[in-house]
Amino acid sequence: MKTSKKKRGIEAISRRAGRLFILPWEIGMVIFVLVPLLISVAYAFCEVTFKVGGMDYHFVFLDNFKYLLKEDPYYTDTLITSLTSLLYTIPIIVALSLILGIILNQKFKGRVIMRAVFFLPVIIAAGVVLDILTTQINGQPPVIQLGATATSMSDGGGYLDTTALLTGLRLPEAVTGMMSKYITMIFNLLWRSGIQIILFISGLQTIPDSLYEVSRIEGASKWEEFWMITFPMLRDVTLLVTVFTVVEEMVSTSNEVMSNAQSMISGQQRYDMPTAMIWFYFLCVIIICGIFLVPLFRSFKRKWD
Amino acid sequence: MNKKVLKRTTSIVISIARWVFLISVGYIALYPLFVMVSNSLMTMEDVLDQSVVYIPKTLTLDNFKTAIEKLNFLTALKSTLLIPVLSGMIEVATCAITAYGFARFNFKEKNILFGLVIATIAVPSTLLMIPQYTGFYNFDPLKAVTIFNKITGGNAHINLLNTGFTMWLPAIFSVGLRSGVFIFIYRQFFKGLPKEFEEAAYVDGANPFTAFLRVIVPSSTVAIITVTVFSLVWHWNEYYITNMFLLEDNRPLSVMLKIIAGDTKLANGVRMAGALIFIIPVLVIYLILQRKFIKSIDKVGIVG
Repeated sequence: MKTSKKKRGIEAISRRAGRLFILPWEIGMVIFVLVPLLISVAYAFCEVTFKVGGMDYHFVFLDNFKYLLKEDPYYTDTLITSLTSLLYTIPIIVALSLILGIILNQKFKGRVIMRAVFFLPVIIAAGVVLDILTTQINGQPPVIQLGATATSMSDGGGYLDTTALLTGLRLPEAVTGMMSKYITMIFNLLWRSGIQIILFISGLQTIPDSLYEVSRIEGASKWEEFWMITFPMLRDVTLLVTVFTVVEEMVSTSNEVMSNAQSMISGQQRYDMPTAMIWFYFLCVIIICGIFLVPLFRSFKRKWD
Repeated sequence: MNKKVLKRTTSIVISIARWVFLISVGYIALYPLFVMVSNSLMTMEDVLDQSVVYIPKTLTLDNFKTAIEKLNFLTALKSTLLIPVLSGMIEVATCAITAYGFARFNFKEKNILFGLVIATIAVPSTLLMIPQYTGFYNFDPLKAVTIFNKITGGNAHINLLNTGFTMWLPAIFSVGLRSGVFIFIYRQFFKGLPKEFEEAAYVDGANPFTAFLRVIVPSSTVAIITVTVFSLVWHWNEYYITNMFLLEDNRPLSVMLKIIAGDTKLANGVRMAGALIFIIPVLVIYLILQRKFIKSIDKVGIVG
């Protein structure tokens, strides 16, 4: 009786302390995230016009979305391109960074230097420098080309002149074009997987060596080791990396829906239509991710606590 | 004997394959830096000269001079440090506090709220920016200012735009730039620390807050360094929020660099020089922290 009372007292203190620790976050969440988010939902369903001293809202319900899907000449096309490119870029980025993470996690001479090199894209690719490197100016080709739209390497710039290399092989033109497209794509995706590699390395570090020792005693091959130990142990990191990659790819400047919306906001000072554009796109992404990630998410949730 | 030879050859083949793979991939990572250095040192003639590939015929520092001038370097550096970088450092502290609440205590709504943390990682910031803009222009959290005006009959109006508060305030409440990622990293780390740490402190009469400050923070340097590096890099590079909320002399380096990037009158070398000037400080800090950082990445368990 006495002990249970004491226990309940400790639990109450624990509850109160926990709530106090996250209280500032809760306040900030309401003021700086939830309220703005609700307002942006409202923008999507309104026609927003400027008037003296503020903005005028006129509720139009689904008109913005109807316009985007039926009348806007670009929106559906860019939406479909963006979504399909997400479907193949995300698995490739996750797989590539997993492979690189595993390699960089192995013990070999020079791995500290190699890891430092792989951190470079994290510094450079996070912002405006990448814009400079990827935009064309004064007729000069960009230093690197990003995104699903970067298909041609023949106009110079870029890492390797793959087209010239491939024409040397005297393959049919369609094949050469396809191959150089895929090579360019892989280069571009690698450039965007810096943080993912770091997250995978940190995940790999937490797998206890004892598991591998046991499997070696049991006579498992490296391939079995990967599927029976490494991959299951990395499930949570894989989910974090996937969510992170989806977000990064979704908001990146190489994504046409996002860049169109952003130029509409800054160029035409319009808020209603771009918000509707982004919300609809966001919903599509969530639905697609839901279809593919629900099994992963279930196992993740069980491990949360 | 034969088996030994076979084993040795396979290990040599594997290490060669690894290096070929790493070098070719590392080349991709280093290539832009290489081009930036080479282009920024070239004169206009060298750029147009087809025979010059990477190594310029005449070295020039004019591009750097122009870039520093156009970047308004000292003023922009000052506001970068004072606004984005400072809020990044605030986030390093506040996210740790929030994450500790999620990691160590039990309360009913915890899982739902942590789900909300994960959800904030996924919300595109473009959606939030315009409502935040109007919110900062007429800062009135929970209608507090309106109520204050009604009571006093005054006409107070708080405009936070073009001040550091646009970034400091969200950081203080741990909902700033990418704070969801930081809370996640911290939480995983705190969950891995043995509970005996705090229990010993509680026996010595500490409360949860002093236990956090005296026991948890000192034993979390690895997590703190990891978050600091990420936060520094992301805030240094931040461009969209600062471009929208900060004007004129408050513009940080990232926004100034974007302006240079869009200026078609400038030579390409100036843009490259500007980009180099922009990344060098972060690169230097990273190289200094690098050894510690790599070690800390090894130790921070992102898996729980």
